[in-house]
Amino acid sequence: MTVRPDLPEALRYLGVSAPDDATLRLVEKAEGLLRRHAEPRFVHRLCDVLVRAGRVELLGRAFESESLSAHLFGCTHAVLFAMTLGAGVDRLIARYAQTDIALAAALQAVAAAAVEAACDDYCRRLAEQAQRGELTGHAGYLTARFSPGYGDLPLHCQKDVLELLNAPVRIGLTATGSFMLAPGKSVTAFVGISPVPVQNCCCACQLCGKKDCAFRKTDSNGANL
Amino acid sequence: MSILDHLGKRVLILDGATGTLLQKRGLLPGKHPEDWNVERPEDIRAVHQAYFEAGSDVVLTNTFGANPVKLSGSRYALERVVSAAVEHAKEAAVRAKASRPLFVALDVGPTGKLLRPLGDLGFDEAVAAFSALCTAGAKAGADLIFIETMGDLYELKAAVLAAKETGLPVFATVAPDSSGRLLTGGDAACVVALLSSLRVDALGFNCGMGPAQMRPFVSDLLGLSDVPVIVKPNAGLPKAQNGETAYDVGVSDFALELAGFARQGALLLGGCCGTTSEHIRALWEAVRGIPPKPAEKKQHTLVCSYDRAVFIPNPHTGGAPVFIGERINPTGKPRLKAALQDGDYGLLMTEAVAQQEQGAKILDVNVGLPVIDEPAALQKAVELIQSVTDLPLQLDSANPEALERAMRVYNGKPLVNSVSGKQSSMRAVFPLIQKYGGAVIALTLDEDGIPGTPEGRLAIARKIVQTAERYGIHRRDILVDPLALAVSADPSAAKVALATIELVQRELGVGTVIGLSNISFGLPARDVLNGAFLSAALSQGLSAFIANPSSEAVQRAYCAHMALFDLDASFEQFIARFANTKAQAPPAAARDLTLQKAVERGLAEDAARLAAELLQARQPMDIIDGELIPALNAVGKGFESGALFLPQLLMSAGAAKAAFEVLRAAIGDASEKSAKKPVVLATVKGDIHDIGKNIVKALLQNYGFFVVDLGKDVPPEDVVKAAREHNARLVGLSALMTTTVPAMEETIKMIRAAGIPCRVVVGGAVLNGDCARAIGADCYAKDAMATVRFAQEVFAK
Repeated sequence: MTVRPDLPEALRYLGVSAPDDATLRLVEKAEGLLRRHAEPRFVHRLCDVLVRAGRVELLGRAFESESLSAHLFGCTHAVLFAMTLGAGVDRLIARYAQTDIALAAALQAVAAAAVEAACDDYCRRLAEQAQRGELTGHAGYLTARFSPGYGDLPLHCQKDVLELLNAPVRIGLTATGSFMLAPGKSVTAFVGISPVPVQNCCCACQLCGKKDCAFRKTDSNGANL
Repeated sequence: MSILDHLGKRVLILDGATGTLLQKRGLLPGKHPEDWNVERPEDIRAVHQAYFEAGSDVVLTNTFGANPVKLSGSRYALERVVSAAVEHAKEAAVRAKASRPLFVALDVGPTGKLLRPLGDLGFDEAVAAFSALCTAGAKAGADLIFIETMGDLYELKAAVLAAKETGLPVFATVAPDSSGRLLTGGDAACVVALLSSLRVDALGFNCGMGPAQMRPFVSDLLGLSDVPVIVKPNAGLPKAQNGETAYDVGVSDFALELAGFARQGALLLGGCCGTTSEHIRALWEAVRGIPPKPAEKKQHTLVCSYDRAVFIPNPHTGGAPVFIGERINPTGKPRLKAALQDGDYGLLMTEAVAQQEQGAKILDVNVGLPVIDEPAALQKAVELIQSVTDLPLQLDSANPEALERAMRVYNGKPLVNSVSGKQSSMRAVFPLIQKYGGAVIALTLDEDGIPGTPEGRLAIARKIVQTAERYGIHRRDILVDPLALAVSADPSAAKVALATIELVQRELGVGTVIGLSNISFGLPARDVLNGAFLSAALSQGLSAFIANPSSEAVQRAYCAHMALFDLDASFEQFIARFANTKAQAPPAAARDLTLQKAVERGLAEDAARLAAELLQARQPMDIIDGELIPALNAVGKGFESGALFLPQLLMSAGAAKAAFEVLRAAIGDASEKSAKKPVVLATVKGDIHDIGKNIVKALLQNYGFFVVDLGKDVPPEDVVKAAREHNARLVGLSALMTTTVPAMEETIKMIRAAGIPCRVVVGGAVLNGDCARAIGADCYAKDAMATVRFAQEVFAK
């Protein structure tokens, strides 16, 4: 698993719309450090899913959420997955936060972009397997990934997801008492598999209620997505 | 009869998987297997019995997750679950009707949480959680404690400390990843350093991979450990098969691989995920004719952090001498002294990182000041320094309580500085080494002072080594300090120290370490003497030295020694340091650069250099007012107008900081105090994302505010306490997630309730002005500059 952050995305996280040379050098330096310290690890589970109104059941657990239920509508199976860039990245950021705050901020952004890129890659590969029928025995189509905290899916189900995946032991991914993932540069998500092609909403921003967010993705006309 | 009576007498067989077998019997994923101790006793007994009958000498109870942290969702009380679990295993042993002695090990797995600073579980909380399980297991009659599948060295240390308290034998294994490292860092050398120093009775690997993948890492372990080695791999690698997890190594291949480990010297073998009683039966068949191979005594002097082991050479092992950085010590450093008195640990952390960058391999940490609470300060210093560097630390204090607190929370196996030949010192320090692990520096002085001859110092060293051995502390964990005294006071000081190095190594076979700079005390050009003395001491075989890594003369002597005596492969370090050392003229553009421009463009090195140049002609305050303040203002305004972006603002802050460092050294500390404008910053309780708070801190410092940074996951009462102690007129709080905004609100309430006359500014991704008002804040800052502006407003009044 290689680490390939999308640098324009990292710049977006930094709030930079027109980078100068110094900023580009900073972000590239952060990327180099990240590659040396990130140890991306994934764990996943494929399972049957029962989608009801406002409720999704899988692996013997129920998740109460209108948005997750709508997202997985029509799916017969789901892949539950978790990924982390590892403790080394958190340590790297903590270190530079004391000695070089600009580099720490750049690392933060590059790492966040690397998590996104790794998840996208991962889901792309899953989608190919699904289409070839390798996951469910017949051709399937993936929904976009959907994480705790999206829509009305509460953050506290991080705990359930991590338990179902045995993520603490398998990849060293845990949640704190307030359901933040630790290490910080990590993701857990649900991906639905449908027997018919699905209309994917393109990104998490669409599902999020915070319309005034500085990082909200916009379309080419500047309108909120 | 104790299992320890059998250890090493034959190869002992452990059991295989429990969790996967319970799942086959109907346990649902994500459900606590421990509940079955109460609900399905016969299933548990049957699994254990099958292992005993297949040849297991030891089975592990069904208590992997039975600690209060992980079991919080269970219907049953911990004691009930654990005592039932131990009873089932004992009952299975009776039913198995074996002629050999059978043992029941209390199984202890990880909590499923990460410890601070990576997560939010406190070290003492972790110890308490493991204690609850271990105490219950001991009470229920377990024969030993088996800690397994640990992926984090710190959690492992917490578990071992708790387990040792029961007095039962303790076995401990970690789960390596495909590169042989733990999930949060640390390799076989770290595992051996920590666990053998904590005196576990057996150590090794379990889970993570199959036997073939584990082979190279097992060899590493066997090469380093003289504690009996355990190997308990999975049945190969997991593969999804019809929605089920299957493993790819067959029963006979598994047994064959493990028999190979037995021949190499592993003394305890078993299986983890995917292994069944069939694997254990085959394993028993395969190893029963193999005589146990007792581990040879190992001589490595090893210390480690959570991620990095350092081998310190001794006369048995040889190797490259180790540079120990001396700068985290307030003696003779007014700025560090003032910072420690103010409870400001930022300087300690930057010194730690700087010394690592300059090539130190271990860092001495001394915070001894008469006016501060040294035990609390040393503990805090260790925790904070370990949050920014992975170098092993040398805990330096004459106060046993300070040493104990620091050794307890230290993540790894520390070097302890120091013990002496005084009875009182040995009585205080050796029990700490015994309990918390560590290597220790032995000063060759005692109640009668420092002997003037090498023979006299040898006699003290011998006394220390022998006393240590009575505590069970191996001499490989002792480094003798022959004591370099000032040649200005005693002209024979260098000769005596050098002769002592040679004598101690020859007679006692232990390594040596020296505090370098004493030798030149009272003379000019101390670096010259330090460097020359280091060369001489290294030639005598010195193992390690405590010195300033920014000293050019010391570095030259060290690098030259390494290059000359075949300790620097292909002269890599030497060439990296000395090739192209000719000073380069600054490029043409840089020659026109002003300090103001350098700060505006975020050029930290140029800013520091230009500040130093300007000091030749101008007063520091004049440079600050005339160059730095205008630069900061220009950049701040640029950011606020949208012409500059966050990275530029921060790079400029970094450059200003570099210039301030230079100027501050010239101003001295007196004027700094009077102008103090204290601001307390914290990321609230429950929140571990603090990058935003750290950005705010950097900018506030640049604008001349005195920032008291309480860190992340800060309880409300700590914020109140700090605001009161520092008379802070402004408190800044950050929270990233909706789940931690309530903690922010609680903090503000508590500040108000305490009647502290301060304003509160808040920031964070999920906040806005309305939300900030609703929770009682005085200001919502949308970014770091907005916080600076509010702070300026608060202090202008």
